[in-house]
Amino acid sequence: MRRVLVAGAVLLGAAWTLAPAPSPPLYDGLTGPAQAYLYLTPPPGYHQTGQPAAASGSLSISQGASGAGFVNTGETPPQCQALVQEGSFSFPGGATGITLALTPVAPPVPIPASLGVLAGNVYHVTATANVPGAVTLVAGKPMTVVLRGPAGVGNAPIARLDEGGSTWQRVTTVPLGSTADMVVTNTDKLGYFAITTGSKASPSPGSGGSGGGSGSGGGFPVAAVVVIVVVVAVAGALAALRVLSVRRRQAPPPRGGRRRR
Amino acid sequence: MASQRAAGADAAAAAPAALLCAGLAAATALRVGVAGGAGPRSAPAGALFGVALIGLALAGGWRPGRPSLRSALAGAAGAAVLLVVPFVLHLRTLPLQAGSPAGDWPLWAAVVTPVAVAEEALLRGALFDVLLRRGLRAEAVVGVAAVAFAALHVPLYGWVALPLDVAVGVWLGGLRLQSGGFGAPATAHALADLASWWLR
Repeated sequence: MRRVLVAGAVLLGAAWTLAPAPSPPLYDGLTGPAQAYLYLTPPPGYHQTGQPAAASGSLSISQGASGAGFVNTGETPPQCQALVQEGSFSFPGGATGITLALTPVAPPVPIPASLGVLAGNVYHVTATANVPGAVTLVAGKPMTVVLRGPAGVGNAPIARLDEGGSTWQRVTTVPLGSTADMVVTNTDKLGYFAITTGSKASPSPGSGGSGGGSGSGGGFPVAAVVVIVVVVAVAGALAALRVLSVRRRQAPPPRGGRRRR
Repeated sequence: MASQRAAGADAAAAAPAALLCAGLAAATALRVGVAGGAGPRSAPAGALFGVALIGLALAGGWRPGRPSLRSALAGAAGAAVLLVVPFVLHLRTLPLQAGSPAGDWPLWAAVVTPVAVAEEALLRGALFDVLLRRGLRAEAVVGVAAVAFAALHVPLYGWVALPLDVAVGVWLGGLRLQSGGFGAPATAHALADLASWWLR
């Protein structure tokens, strides 16, 4: 029996090694509820308490390289996160620190219909040094930007408008593990980032967004009733089988005495 | 005649296991249907799923035994093994945040724990007992329960979770065999799930 445990441990190690980063699903259970999405400009009928947060953080510069760090907005989970590795930024001489900031803003340039419809907020991701001069990302050391969209957005792609640019473009986007409505891109340019979808996201009026997900949306599905009936029928069949098996065991043994006479 | 009777007896012996698996599939479909777009975030769907599993396990002959300190300790040790890698990854990987509002933890835990226990009651309880009584080798029983465990999560977490869930199923099955009851795997499963609140 111990070898089954050993096999389980070995399989666990192997599965974790093969599991795709960065956020593999754990073992089971429910994913915790997300805070309702906070729009900079809520769509009609959507009620929210509070405004989307901005965030900023400092990266130190030592030995000529910017430090690693991350910034995330205050929602749970954050609606925008940015992470950089060491040496990601080039910066003006004399700088001793860089401020990485995330700010929800109105789209500075309309998103073209070919990229879809804006889902959620546009986030302006900036990096500024503590002395005048441009801060840019170093080639080969991209910044990771994570966006959370409104509930139901799924793995919709991210669009980017480069700092000082005039055209939105789609960037390579991957889902954040199994986490719902969160997507990631690695970018070599600072600028504006937004999730876009093929069609307009339609939040339920007055619901305040996703929350714990109380159901499938449009009325109680007939399929669910059918499945409940199936579950109950299966349970009934199991119980009946058990009763039959118990009765069979309790039945008196066949009377063989008469034949012997 | 005798061979027909033997085949009939075989089929009768296999029926409870097949029914349990069918019930598990139906309960999973129910959870997915009720959850809709909310997927694994839907607490009502999770709760309904747990109730369905407990009902099936009870109908299949599973009865909750008396909780023992020994199985609780074995379960805690089992959970520690399950959590080693996630904990190390949590410390070492990029600090991406995919967590949930802290105030929701009590309600979440109140749903997650029974669901984990219900899954164990059905898989490492009722199904395990039925298959062992049928004379299947213990290793095969562990395998069947592990595959069923992994399969029930695919609709919610995708195929990407399959290898990991099979491995976890084997580990929990090993705990079941080692401890002799469903308490240890249920404890390990529930603790590992509860820890995911902080380790995501």
